[in-house]
Formats: sequence, C-alpha cells, structure tokens
Amino acid sequence: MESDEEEVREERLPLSRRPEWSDVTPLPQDDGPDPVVSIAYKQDFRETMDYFRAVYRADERSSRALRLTQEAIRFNPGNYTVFLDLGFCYVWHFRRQIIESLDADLHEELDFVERIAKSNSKNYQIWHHRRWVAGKLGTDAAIKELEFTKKILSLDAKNYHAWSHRQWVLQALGGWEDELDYCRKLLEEDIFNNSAWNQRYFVVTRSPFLGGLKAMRDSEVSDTVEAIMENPENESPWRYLRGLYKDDIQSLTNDPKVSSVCLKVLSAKNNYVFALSMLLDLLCYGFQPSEEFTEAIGALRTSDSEPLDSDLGKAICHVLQHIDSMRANYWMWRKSKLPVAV
Amino acid sequence: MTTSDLPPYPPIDPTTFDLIIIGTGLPASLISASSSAAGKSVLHLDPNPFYGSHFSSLSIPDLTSFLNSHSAPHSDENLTLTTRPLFSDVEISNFAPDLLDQHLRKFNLDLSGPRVLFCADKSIDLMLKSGASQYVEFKSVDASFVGDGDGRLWSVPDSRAAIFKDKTLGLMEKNQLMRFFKLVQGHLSENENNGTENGAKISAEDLESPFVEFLSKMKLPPKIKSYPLDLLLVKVAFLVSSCDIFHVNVDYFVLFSICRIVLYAIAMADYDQENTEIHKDLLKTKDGIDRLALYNASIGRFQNALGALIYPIYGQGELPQAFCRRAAVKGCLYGKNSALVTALMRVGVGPADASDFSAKGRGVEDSGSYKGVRLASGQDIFSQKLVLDPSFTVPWPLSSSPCEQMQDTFQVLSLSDDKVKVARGICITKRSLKPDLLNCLVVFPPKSLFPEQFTSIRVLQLSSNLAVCPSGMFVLYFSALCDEVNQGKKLLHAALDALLQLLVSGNSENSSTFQSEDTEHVEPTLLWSALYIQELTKGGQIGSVSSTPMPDGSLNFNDLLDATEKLFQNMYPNEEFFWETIEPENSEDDGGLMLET
Repeated sequence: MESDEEEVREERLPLSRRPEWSDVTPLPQDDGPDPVVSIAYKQDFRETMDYFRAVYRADERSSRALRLTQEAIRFNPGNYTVFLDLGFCYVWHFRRQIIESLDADLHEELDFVERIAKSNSKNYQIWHHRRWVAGKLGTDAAIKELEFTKKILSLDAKNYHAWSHRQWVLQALGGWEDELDYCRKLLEEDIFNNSAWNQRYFVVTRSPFLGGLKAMRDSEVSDTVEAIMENPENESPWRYLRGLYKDDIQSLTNDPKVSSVCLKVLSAKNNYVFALSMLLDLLCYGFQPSEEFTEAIGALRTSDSEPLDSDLGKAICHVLQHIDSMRANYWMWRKSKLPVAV
Repeated sequence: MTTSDLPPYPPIDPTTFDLIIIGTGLPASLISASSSAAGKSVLHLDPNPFYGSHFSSLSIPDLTSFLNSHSAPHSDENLTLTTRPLFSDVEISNFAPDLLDQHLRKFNLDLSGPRVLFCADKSIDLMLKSGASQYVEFKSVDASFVGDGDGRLWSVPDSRAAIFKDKTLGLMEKNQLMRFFKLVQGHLSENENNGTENGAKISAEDLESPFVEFLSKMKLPPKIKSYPLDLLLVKVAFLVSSCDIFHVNVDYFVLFSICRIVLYAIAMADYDQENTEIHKDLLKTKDGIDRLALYNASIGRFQNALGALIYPIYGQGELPQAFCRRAAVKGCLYGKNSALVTALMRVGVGPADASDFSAKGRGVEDSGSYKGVRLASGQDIFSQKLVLDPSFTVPWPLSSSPCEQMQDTFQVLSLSDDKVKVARGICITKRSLKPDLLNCLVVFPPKSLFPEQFTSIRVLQLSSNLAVCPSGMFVLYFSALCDEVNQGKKLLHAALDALLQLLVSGNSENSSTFQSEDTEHVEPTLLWSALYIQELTKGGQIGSVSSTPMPDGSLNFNDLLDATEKLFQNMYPNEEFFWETIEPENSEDDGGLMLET
C-alpha cells in the first residue's frame, strides 16, 4: 500500500503541479476575524495542509488521500502551537478512517509507525496511533508490540510512552510469560533502572501466570535484599521492598529479612540514608529493635559530645537531620511525630 | 526605584568572558544571540529593570520616566563612564487623567516608533533563521494611506490587481503604469536570473539617477498641478458622490499622483524628492527599485497579512527580548538592574615612551586598551571585547596619556555624521483615524502639511488587538527626520494637528463632543501625548570596544540590521552573522522533519 521510496526533500514536487491532484481545489485555513500572521509555516507544509483540508472536507477515503496523510505526517510540526493552529490532529484521525474504509494492511501500518517512531519516540500522536492499530490486530500483535517497545527502550530506557504502551499490550493483548525475565535482564544491565523496577512490580502484581503478590513475595524479597546489599544507595530496591508489603505493614515489620538488611547496611557505615529511613518507619510501625540496632545507630554519631537519645527513633531522626540535611526540616518533623516510647 | 533599593544580587560567576554587552537594545541583542550561537561566552547586562533599552515597549509611567531620565545629563559621581542624554525637549501631556490613571500600566508603548516590519524584510528572515520567531507573534497592518493635509486620506494600493481594477484610470494612465511595472519587474528578474530575456532592463545610468527623475521619465509625474485643476476637481467631486470614500480601497488614488505615493508611501523616502538642490537627500533609482521590490514581495507573502506590513503583538520590545532569549539558550548570561560604573582599561602596558605612540594607533592595542568593566555592585568583570549602549561615551583612561586626537576619535565615533535627529511623537486616542480600521499607516509627504516641511512624517496607528493599549483606545506613533530641535517640534505639532483633524472629521457624528462648549461632558479624543527629539548615533568601533546605534528614523529595521551586521563582522571577522538555522526549542524528537528510518 505505502510506497517505501522516499522522495528526496529537494526534489519534492508541489501538489499543485502533480497531475494526479489536478482535480482538487486546496482549501486555505480560516483563521477567523482577527488572525495572527504566522511567519513560520513553510510553503510546502502549508500547501500540503491546504490539500489535506480539501480531501478531509470531501471525506475522500482513497489511497491518494492516505499517501497525502503520510506526507503531512512527515512534516511533523515541532512547535506545538503550529500543531494546534493547523488542526494537525485531524491528519492522524483521518488516516485511521481511511485505513478502515480501505481495509488497509495493518501490519504495514505498524511498520510505517516503527519507521517514524525511532526518531520521534516521544510523540503522543504516533503512540496513540500505534495503540489503535495494535488493538485492531488483537492478540496476534502482542509479540510484535513487545519486540517494538523493547527496541525503543534499548535506545531510551525510560521512555514513558514505550513503557506505557508495553503495559497496555500486556493487559490488552497478553504476552506476560517472559516479562519478569525481561525485567531481571534489564536490571542485570543496570540495577539503577527505576523503570525496570517499576515494571517488575507491575508484572509481579498483575501477571496471571505468577500467582499474585503474596505468592511471589518471598523470592522477590530475597532478590531485592541482594540488590540492596550491592548498592545500598540505590533508592529503587528500597521502594520496591516497601511495595512488596503494600497493604500489609505488619508483615513488613515482622519480616526478619527487612530489619536485618537495615542492620547490615548500618553496620557497614556507608550509604545508609535509606536504611535509616526504613528503620525509622519500622519503629513507627511497632518494630522492637534489639541492642544491636542501638549500638549500630550509636556508632553513626557524628559528634561524640552529644549523648545518644534514649529513644532510638529520635536518635535516628537526629542522624538523618545531619546526613540528609536537604530534608532536615522533614526529619525534624518526623521526630516531632514519633509515637511516644513505651 | 534605584539599584540600591533592590536586594543584592549574587556576584556574577565566572568573571571573565569573551564578550560583555551593556544595554539590551535590538542591535545589542542581535550581537548577543549571534555571538552566543558562534560559541563565544557572553555576559549581557542592562542597567534598567527591563530589557530592550531604547527599543523597548513600556507602560506610560515607565516610558515617562525613561524619557525624562535620558534627557537630562546624568550626574552621578560614582559613574566615571560618561553618559550623554539622547532625548531632548520631552513634552508629555495627560489630557484625561481620570480615564487613564486606572489604565496606566496597560500600555506597551514603543520608545522608537513608528516601526513596522515588511513581510519580506531581512528581519523576518533573520528571526526565522535564528529561531527568535518562536517567541513573537504578528498581526497585519490593515492599510496604508497618504495624507494630503486637507483632511483626506488616499489609499496606497496593496496589489497590482487593485490598481488595474480601478475604474477611474484612463487607458493612457493604465498603459503608463503597466509599462512602468513591467520595466521594474523585468529589471528585478534580470538580476535574479542573470540572463537577458526581453531586454527589459533599466540602464546603469538610470539606476544611479534620482528615482524621482526616473519616475518622471516613466510618465508618472510628481506634481499634482500637472493635471488641469478643473479636471481634477471634477474627478474628485465625481468620486465623492459616487462612492464611500473611506471604504473603497484604490479607486481614487491615481488622482493624487502615483508618483508621490510610490516615493513616500511605498519607497518610504524621507526627504523632499523634488528639492533637487540637496542631492544627498534624493533617493537613487536603484534604491527606489529595491524598495518597490521589497514592498511587492511583502504583499501576499503570509496568509492573514492584508498588505505588506506586520507588527508584533505586545510591541516592538518583543524583538530584542526574542533575540536575548535565543542568546540565553546558547549560553549567554543575563542581568537586569546591572548598572555600569566604568570601563577598565589596561594600564602601564605598552610603550614606555609616549613618543613611541604611532599615528597608526598601535597604542590602542597596548597601553590604555580595554580589559573589563566595573559594575555598580562593585564587581569587576573582564572580557576580550565590549559592546556599549549608545548612551555611553568611553573616556580615555585617566592614568595613561594618549594623544588628543585618539580621545576625540573615540567620542566622536558614536555620533551621527550629519547631526540629523528624529522627532518622535506618541498619542493615545479614543477613536480610529478610519472608522473601520484597526491598524494602519499614514504618510504625510514633504510639504503636504506646510511649505517648509522638508521631510516625510509617517504615522502608525495601532489598536488594542495588538495588546499595546486597553480595548477602545488606539496608539498613534509618528516621526520625521529633522536637522534641529525647533524644526523637529514644528513637524511634530503639525502632524498632531493634522491627526486631530482626521480624528474629528472622520467621526463627524461624534464631533460635537470635541467641539462642545459644555466642558463637563466633553470626552477628549486625544487622551495623552508625548513629543520628543531623539539623537541619532550610527554606532562604531575602536579597538575592542564597540558602540551600538540608536533606533533610526526608518520605518523598518533593515538599515539597523545592516549596521549591526557590520559591527559584528568587525568584531568577529571569522564568524558569520547567524550562520546556523536553528531548530525549534522543543525536544529533538518533536522538531523538524519526521524522517523515516
């Protein structure tokens, strides 16, 4: 359907000079009574939009109209006001209508989107269009979509559009089987990849193949604790850990693996901000610390002149005020909100 | 508000730059943007609390304060850098304080109006090329007119088609016009194609001759009295009775002399073109043709532009700000409220013996050459080069002893060669010059208002749709070149009278309010006015210090752009003035052509 031959920019023939368009009168834009004079629209872009308006108004759902929408899309207005001014969203909308009317090949359409998405991976219209096409193809498209988002993510690990699309694909079209493995692989490449941790959570909680959060919890906690020990300054596994115990604070407090990793990190006396923060929360949830914890906190004191607060929670806040000074006010407030020591 | 009232700014860091620019007028901002784009480290400061300097658009109180403070010699013992007043004879009158006082801040008044852009101007292309166009939006100037001093406005044609649709043109007159335009068109396409097609070309001799002579040769006579007077009156009477004179575009212009319209309202000549004694003021044919070409290329260039001219929403002050923003994107550091105290000169380096000081100016690069500036904040900042606002003159360093000649050169450098000034006026009115028009240009050719009027007076009316004034009001800018203050004032007052006459007569149903004896219910047409004389400076350069020009008396920015480009080339001979075409500010994913990989 779509020609793969690209016209070289310099040789582009204006639409007004193409014989196949000679029967169409282009429609200029109506900007209303007190219009702004736009100096930035290139003549060929403006002309393409004029011809588009004509076919759109006539509701001509033909193959030449489909090709015209492709030409218009290639102009890709970067300036958002240009996008709104010219009603560019109609181009995508009409393209979808033409595809339906002509019953165009949807796999070729996916290929078209892939070709333009690589250099425009943050364009909302492209992703929306992709989702529409994939939705029409149904579960058959699942593999292709997972492959596609994987490619995009290999170029830009945190592309929100790509992740969002991937999650939609999993839920709407399936393909969960290898997702946890994919997350694990990403984390092997970069343990700090927060998007991968996020996706891991998504899979663990929603995959119909894994049995749910509670069933997965133990193995996940083990993996997470391992990640924490490798890089205690990595905030992602700490957050993940809390997530694993969402809506089940008691289990968090009671899990010896959690309190033990805090103690280990504190004892190492390096990159312990998150460990302290976790321990503080555990205390607030009712955790009963052993002597080892008190000693570990005592060892972290920066100035020996100050006596260690008998209340461990207060002592922790005190340390945090110093080592996380950007949030000193927050830690002061936490101190004021501590439950009274029994 | 003085600088001392403001909280102390953090010190500028780093303290060495390639270039320091003082003042954020349009030329300075262009240099800033271009230098930054070329990779220079630039510090751009302005002593005012706003950007734009003499090119800015200000509220009534800010404009008043700026004009007043820049018309008196600045006496500040801390300032060792001399400033000179560039405005004089400032007359500001508020005729409707009750009405205006609540709206004082709702104005964006140009300090250097009237000023518009032609759609095919160099400044437009520069804005597109540099990316500054993302920050400015324009609206159309609806129409242009020539005023005749008798209260009539004659339409300037906005298209060749309009001329030929005209019913009152005789066949002979149409033929003359056709021949003329064919010749001009042929000449222009000649130059583009470098080939001879019909041989329709203007000779080199003609090109150097005064434009008015050429037009005469083309049978487009300048003098209205070349028409038999009774025939003229008959034609006028016929027109007045047969059509609504204020709503029809071009049916009657030819009677007012095509030549005068071409000279003053299309080619925008400043001086009287029939005063053949002062040859230097005569527009040459080649320049006249160029201006005609600019006008012609401007018409129809942009959709929604009704004629050749457009104006930026929020006022001319948007333009320097747009370029400053581009400069900032490229790394330029900005500071407002940064008053300059003095330029720091290198001392004690160079020829030990003053007699070594060669006439070739070798001494400029050695002893006494520029090294940096001292700011009012007390900080010293150093740079290779300095660009100064036109209000500064740089005194020679106190400790070294240059020859007198160098000192004079420096000070004289920045002043205009022939002491020409611009007389400017601003009015705020409650009515439009033409009932159904919002924005328009009116030109009063030389001698149209009074016999000694040797220069054209141009008037620009802007309405609230440009966000320059509150709804229901209009702003009028007018200017004319003059040789001295009294002449300038006379020009301004004559223009003011003519404009008031137009405002009253054009709204004759309401004229009773203006003429009314009952002063309690009089609603003044003219709400506020400001008249002032502005010095012209051409800008210039000595060693590493440059001075930017003041706004000139032209209607567009072309001459200022040329002067700025020249300054830039002198500063950085190896760099091009805005060489790169810049993509929109958005992320690289959203900009430019969508490539298929």
